[in-house]
Amino acid sequence: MRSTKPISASVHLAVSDLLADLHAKGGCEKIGLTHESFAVILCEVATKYLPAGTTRADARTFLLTLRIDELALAQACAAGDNSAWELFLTRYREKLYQSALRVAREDSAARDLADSLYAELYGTTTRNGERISKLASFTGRGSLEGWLRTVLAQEFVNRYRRTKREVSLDEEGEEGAQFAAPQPEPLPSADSRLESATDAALAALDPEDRMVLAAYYLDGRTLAEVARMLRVHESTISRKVDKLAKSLRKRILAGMMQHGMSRRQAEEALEMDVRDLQVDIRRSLAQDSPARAFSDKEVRVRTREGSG
Amino acid sequence: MESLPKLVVKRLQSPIADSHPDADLLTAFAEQSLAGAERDHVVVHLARCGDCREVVSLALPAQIESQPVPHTIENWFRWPLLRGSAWHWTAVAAGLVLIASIGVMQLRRQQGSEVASNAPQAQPPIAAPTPSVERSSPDAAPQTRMQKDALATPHVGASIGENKRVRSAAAQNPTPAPAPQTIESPETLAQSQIQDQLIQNKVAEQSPAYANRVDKAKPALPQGSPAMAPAPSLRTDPSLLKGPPAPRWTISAGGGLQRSFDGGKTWLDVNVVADDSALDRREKTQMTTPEAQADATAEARPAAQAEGKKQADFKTKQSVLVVPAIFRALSVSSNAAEVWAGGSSGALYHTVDAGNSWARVLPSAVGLVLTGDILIIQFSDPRNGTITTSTSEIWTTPDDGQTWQKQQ
Repeated sequence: MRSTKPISASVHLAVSDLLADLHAKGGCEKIGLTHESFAVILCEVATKYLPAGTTRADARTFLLTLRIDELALAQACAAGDNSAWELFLTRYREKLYQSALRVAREDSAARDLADSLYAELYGTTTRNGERISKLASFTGRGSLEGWLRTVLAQEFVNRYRRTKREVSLDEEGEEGAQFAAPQPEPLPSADSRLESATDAALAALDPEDRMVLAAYYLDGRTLAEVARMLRVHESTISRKVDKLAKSLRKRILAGMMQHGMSRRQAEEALEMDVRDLQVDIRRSLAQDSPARAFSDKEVRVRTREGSG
Repeated sequence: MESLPKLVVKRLQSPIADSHPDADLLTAFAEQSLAGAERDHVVVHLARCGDCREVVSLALPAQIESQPVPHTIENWFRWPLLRGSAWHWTAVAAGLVLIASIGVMQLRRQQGSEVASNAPQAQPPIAAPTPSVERSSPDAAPQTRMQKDALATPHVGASIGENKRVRSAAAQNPTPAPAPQTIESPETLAQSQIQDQLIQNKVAEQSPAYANRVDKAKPALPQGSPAMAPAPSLRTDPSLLKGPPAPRWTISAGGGLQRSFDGGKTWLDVNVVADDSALDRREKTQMTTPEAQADATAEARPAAQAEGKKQADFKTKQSVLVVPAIFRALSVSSNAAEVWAGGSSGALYHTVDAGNSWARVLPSAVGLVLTGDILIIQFSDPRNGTITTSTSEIWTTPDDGQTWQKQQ
């Protein structure tokens, strides 16, 4: 969580305005967080997320939106306070395993996933004799329970990506060794006017609409799942997806017609695409997003004393 | 739903160049806590990053309606023969008839046993059945009564052996108390036998408060046996329903090891640091009630006999190891009655009898000794296990903890 940005004066002032209240609200006294150490944490969180030139009032508003008690608990755990760790285990240990089961959908994989995160939360990695706890990176923007689910999901996706890459490489090796892989038929080149019209139509989409389309058509999520992501009713998403798909088609057709195609030609180009365009799904999936893993490099290094 | 041309779908997956939002921001987005430019930034990323969409989707909180149904019920109705609606309802009706007839039979048997217990005691009492009865102090009476309460929980269940013990207690104790009703089913026999052992082990520290806690620990069918106990298994392992019930294990906030015989409703502290005197007392008790033990073991835990040698070896091992006074648990792995518990400073304990007796195990190999706190214990089967410590050491055993290897 440690921010590399300098802490602005307005953040300092906002933290000092609210420190006493937030320190009490977070129950910091019981879990070994002094006023000074908590002030440093609040300054770092605010500096990480607030843009340069933030006013004191904005910084105060931001601080008041944080999950203060959960931030204090996570940071006290990362600092190695035993009572904080015990409180954390009481509240979240069981939830951690339940969430892992929900993410992995299989008992042994869930246990493996939860155990590895548990070890990271406790801080198994040592650097110069100091333990690094993943909890140090929690900033209280959302709930701690939700954050635990998110880091579990990130780890799960990372593992899935690794497995997929390994399997993909193995398959390629086998194919190369055993079969003289036939040269793939050249893909029918989509009309450049179709491509540019498609790109223009997608670029004009609202990001949230594009997210909805990608989740439904690309990721294969159900309407209910997409609705839950955005916390709206399933019927709302259903109408939205249908409307977006229709308007996208219209825009692409209009774009092609603007480039000199007749309506019939444009419709044929789209239909041809639907029927015949060969998309190498495996290759597409392998390239679907940047091959970066989720990581938490900005973790605070804290020494856990008297680990027990 | 309107279909999208494949080219459009393909173009939707154009990668994004910026880095992933951190877990805090993704959580805040999912919880609708973001607004303005911050939310816009996350949405722009999500529109192009399939991995982050996957993360947000996976991390959504569980819905009540999506909670899985226990497998036993699910699988039962999924038998091919039972898929037709007629068969389905026939099966339900047959089940009801069966339950009703068992109920009638049990009622008759109960009435018979009540008559027998009200009649003068024909059977000679068994000598020194439980330590609580051995005491001649005035507080023996309430303890005995509480013990009966604990035994006569929802299955109204005392095993044959327990029944004899309680009867003998009633014979020795001047306080009159009605004999418990008896229903003899394998589940209740096994449950109450383990519960009885628990009472025997804890009897030295028995107090009204403790007795109340035992009283709350009503036996129920076990709901699973997760290898890492704190993970409450949402599935039911059908194999557990056949054999003796395996308790569930967890670690309390204070690092205390706890077990539950009722699927996690109530938890009891388990002291893994073996007390020699308690062990002696337990062994003495077991020796003085051979008949009761034989009955209970023969009817309720045939599998336990097969493990006799293992338990004997275990007791030998237990007697030679010196144990520390305080144990703070950090990890636990269980497989039916066999449990491994790890804690701070390399403390590792092992039980083969569902936690009634424990032995400390010190993993070592060619001059190396395990160091650090034991954070993860995993046993892929009863013999092969792996331990991970806070010092990033990994130790494996191929033979149920007899020998250990440190992984490089």
